[in-house]
Amino acid sequence: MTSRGILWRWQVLVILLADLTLALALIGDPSVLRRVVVVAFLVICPGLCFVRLVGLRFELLADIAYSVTASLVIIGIIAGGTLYADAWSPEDVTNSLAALLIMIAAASAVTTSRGPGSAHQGRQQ
Amino acid sequence: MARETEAIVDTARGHALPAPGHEPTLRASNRLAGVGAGIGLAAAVGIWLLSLLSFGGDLRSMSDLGLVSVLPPGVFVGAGLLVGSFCLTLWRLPTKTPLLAAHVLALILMLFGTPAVLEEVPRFTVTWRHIGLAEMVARTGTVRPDLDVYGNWPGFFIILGFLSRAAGMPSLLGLAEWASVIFNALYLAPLLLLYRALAVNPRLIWLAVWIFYSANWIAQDYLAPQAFGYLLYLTSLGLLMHAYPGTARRWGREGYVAWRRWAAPIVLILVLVAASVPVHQLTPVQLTISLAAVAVVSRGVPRALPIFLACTIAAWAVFMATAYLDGHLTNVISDVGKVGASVEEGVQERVAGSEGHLFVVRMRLALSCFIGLLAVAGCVRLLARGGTAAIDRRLIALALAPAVLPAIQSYGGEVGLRAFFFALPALAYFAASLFQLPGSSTSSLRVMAATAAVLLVILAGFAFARYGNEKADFFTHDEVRAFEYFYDVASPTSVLAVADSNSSWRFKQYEQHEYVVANRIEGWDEAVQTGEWDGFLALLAAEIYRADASSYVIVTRSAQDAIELIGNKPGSVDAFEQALRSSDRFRIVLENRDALVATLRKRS
Repeated sequence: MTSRGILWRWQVLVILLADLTLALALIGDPSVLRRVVVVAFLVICPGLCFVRLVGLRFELLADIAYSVTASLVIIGIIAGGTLYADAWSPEDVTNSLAALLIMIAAASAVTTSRGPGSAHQGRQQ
Repeated sequence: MARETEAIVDTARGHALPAPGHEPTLRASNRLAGVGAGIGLAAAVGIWLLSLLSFGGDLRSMSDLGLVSVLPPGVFVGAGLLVGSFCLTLWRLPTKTPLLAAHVLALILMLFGTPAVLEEVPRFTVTWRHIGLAEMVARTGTVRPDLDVYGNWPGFFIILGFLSRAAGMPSLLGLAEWASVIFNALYLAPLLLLYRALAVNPRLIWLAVWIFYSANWIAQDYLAPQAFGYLLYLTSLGLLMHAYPGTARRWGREGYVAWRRWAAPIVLILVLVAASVPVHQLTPVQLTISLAAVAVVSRGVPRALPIFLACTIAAWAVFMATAYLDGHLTNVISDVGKVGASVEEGVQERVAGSEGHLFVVRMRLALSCFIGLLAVAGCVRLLARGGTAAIDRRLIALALAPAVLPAIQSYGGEVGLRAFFFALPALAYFAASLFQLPGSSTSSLRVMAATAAVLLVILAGFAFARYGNEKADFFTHDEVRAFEYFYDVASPTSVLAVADSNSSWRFKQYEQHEYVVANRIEGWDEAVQTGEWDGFLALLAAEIYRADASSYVIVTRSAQDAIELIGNKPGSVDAFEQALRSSDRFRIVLENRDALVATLRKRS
């Protein structure tokens, strides 16, 4: 696996989980599959994006663990914000978050695909 | 030259790396050991799991010694095999992270997953309350600071409520059952990061991790804010150690290149430490103390970090926790400086109860002291080998910083336990430093056997210390059914009374009902002493009577066992139950093996 290939992995994971989350929400599926997908998306993706975008790099296992911790913190901030703003709607927030993360991951993937010397590559130093 | 000096210091710290050519020799001569370790690991997990799945006993027959008294022998065989396999991997094989990680994950599963496999529903009365709080947040989209302390530090419940509502989870019971395993697994990455910043010998790191888990009897890793707070505590410290290896950084052209290396973790650390504030009362205070201690002994760490956290704590207390502090500020402040009272409350008052329970309490003290002694011995060994340069001052700071906590708060008598828990990562590292690990001529099979013996002793202590209260901590389906019945039939103004607070209650409709604990009502002690319950039942009836709704009293097995265990008037719940049965004020509406539900008869 090339270094660019490794960089691509997290964007693919985020886009895949976010798309699944949105698709299952559109279908209105109440199954166990939806629960698993939404929980996986919420506890991995926001933190993974954050950890990658601020430029942290660890081993795969540590990456996942830090992503989970950061995701829980991000969810706490977003959920707390909506709760205190009297705008509590976890389903809508999750869907919006999924859409946002798809855009971030896609933008990151495009920047990465420009190759060495691009702005994104520069940030990975 | 500088590298040579570093190598000498590393060796003195017990971080000795294998001599050149040593690892290939190990690999060649110990292929059999590798196969043995793999088989040992698989067999250990297999035997543990099979013995739990085929468990035919009754948890109700548990003695005051706790879960140990009913565990099938296969659990102990599995744990013993795992220790043997881990030591074999550590001593006889080239360091292979996946195999060592697999051993530690198996250890986490065995130590913290046993109740989840064996018991019918989540353990700990507080877990049920936390589920109720998360359910309330998910359902209403509000927190209630006026109800109790939880509403003033609601971060964890907001996260749980958000997750459960967004995913459409009907209940958090499954998550609650496995929460200890999940949290301990999440602790692994920041622990590794913390230790890797201090040591270069992976064997020392994995041994420290093993000791951390097998000495973690404090049980603050269930579905609770402090478990999440501890994750933030470990992650912040791990990242801090990683970002600041202990040398001062200079700003300049070269510094700009390095900027991203330390700025990225700092952004994450700032977010993490700030996020810990709304989650739990005690954890951010300890994090502030630990960050300050590390900043004092380490030149590179920004001293503004603990100041930032202290300001955040103060801001939260002033703006968001006023509902709690309004009524409790005097209590909070009055504990400051009373170290003796905190220790007395934490130790002396806990050494009480039945003979079995006393043994468990002494085992907890003994295990904590044993880990402390191992850590001191490890320190002495490091000092003897390399002088003060062999000991990382940051680790000493992390080990000693929690000792400040008892001077600030008694925390309901729990502060000693919490301080031990916060110090455990550093204590485990020093304890691991005591053992002569492979890579030097003095390491031998005898040392390996001695280490295995010590690890077995710690595990034996863990079994008693961690699960010694299990008789009161576990609940059954029948008990939960009694509370489900109440929630099904109750009106919003219905009052629920329980014999003792050790009940699986408040997991629904948290904010809707008034809750009463019978053995805290004045008159209980007198009724227990005299055996005359009529007067007490009249008091209880007056307390829970509501003109517009039926109120209920629930008596459970776990309430009875909790009172028996701590020796607070044994038999009193049985007597209370008999009095309810024969009273003309109450009517039994549900009864099963482990619970009884009574309601007030309608007044004519």
